[in-house]
Amino acid sequence: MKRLLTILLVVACIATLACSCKDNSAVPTETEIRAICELATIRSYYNNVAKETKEKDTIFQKKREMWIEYEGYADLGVDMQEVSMKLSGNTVTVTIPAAKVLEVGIVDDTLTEDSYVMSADGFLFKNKITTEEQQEAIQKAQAKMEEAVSGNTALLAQAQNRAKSIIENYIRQLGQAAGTEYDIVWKDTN
Amino acid sequence: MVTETTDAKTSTTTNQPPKPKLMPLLCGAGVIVLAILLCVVFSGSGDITIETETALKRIVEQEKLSTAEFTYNSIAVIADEKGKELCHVAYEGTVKAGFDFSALNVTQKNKTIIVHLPEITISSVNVDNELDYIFVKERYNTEDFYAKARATCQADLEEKAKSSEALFATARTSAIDTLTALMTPLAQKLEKDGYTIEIQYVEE
Repeated sequence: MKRLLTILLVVACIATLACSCKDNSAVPTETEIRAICELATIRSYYNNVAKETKEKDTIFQKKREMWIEYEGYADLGVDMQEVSMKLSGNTVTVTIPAAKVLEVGIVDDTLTEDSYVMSADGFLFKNKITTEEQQEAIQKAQAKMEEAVSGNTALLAQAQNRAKSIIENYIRQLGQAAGTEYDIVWKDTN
Repeated sequence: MVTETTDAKTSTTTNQPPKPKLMPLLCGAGVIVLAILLCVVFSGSGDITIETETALKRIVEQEKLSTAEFTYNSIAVIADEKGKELCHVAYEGTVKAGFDFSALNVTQKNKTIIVHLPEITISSVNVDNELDYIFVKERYNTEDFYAKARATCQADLEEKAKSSEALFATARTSAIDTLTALMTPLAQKLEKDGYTIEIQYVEE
């Protein structure tokens, strides 16, 4: 009987010790939270057509139209430099800005010869569309697309929620490791 | 239980009462603990998958799970019966893609609830009324051309949307994000019961 009691006592002691062996170094840090924000970016794809009209310089020339079709992307997320964190007891206050368009770009290999459509040029008097004019058309189209994506509040809210969700997951996991249940308070920078 | 046993031992030393029969007590306690554990392990565990699936479908139906909307501006080619190119038409289109929530399937593997996201489908394809044209020859620009162009652009977008990998990938990510957000309270409730939820796409 004594042996049984001793075993029970030892098991209880080990269990108590195991439970008390918490990772006290596992506390959320601002650096980590900022790094997480970088990972929380949402990439949204779109198909677009850049259009350019080249007016004629002389009455002998023809007005030209040029279209360039391509696939683009917009990266949405929160600016990690604007993210801050304060730890007070078990309360983590995270200040997070609204999501914005971080980058727009063109998907590689989607600009091919087939992407270009141009109206016919004059037979004798040419009105050539230069490479610079083509690039300018794409830049304009990208700027227009960035403006459109910036106005998509649903998509931006989705990006901010994603960042919050990942940060929350990170803090909860650290809390579990440290044996602490953190309360998370969100604050907007606006 | 350890404290009570120690107390019993102390009182035996001081007042010399009859020796308590600890073994039957311990066995009894063990049986009770085991019964409780069995109840915890088996109570409704077979139903948790069904309950989760029902709860999820209810959440999704209530929220009408927002489908992702895509800007799809493109160029369609209009040709005659012999395949001779007549015109290029630039159009602005939108494509909505999502998944059929009635096909949401939930399975369980040990303490993990797996939500199987059904295949992404295109729910609507729309071409804006305003079209731009580049005619191969100006004489192809006839009065009835618009109706033909509009129909061609609609068919063109339907075809392109079906084969757009980027569109499906974005729709998938969007659906997973939305579903994760929607089921957060449910996931937290299940987590308290020791379960975790995973979302898997049908192809995974």
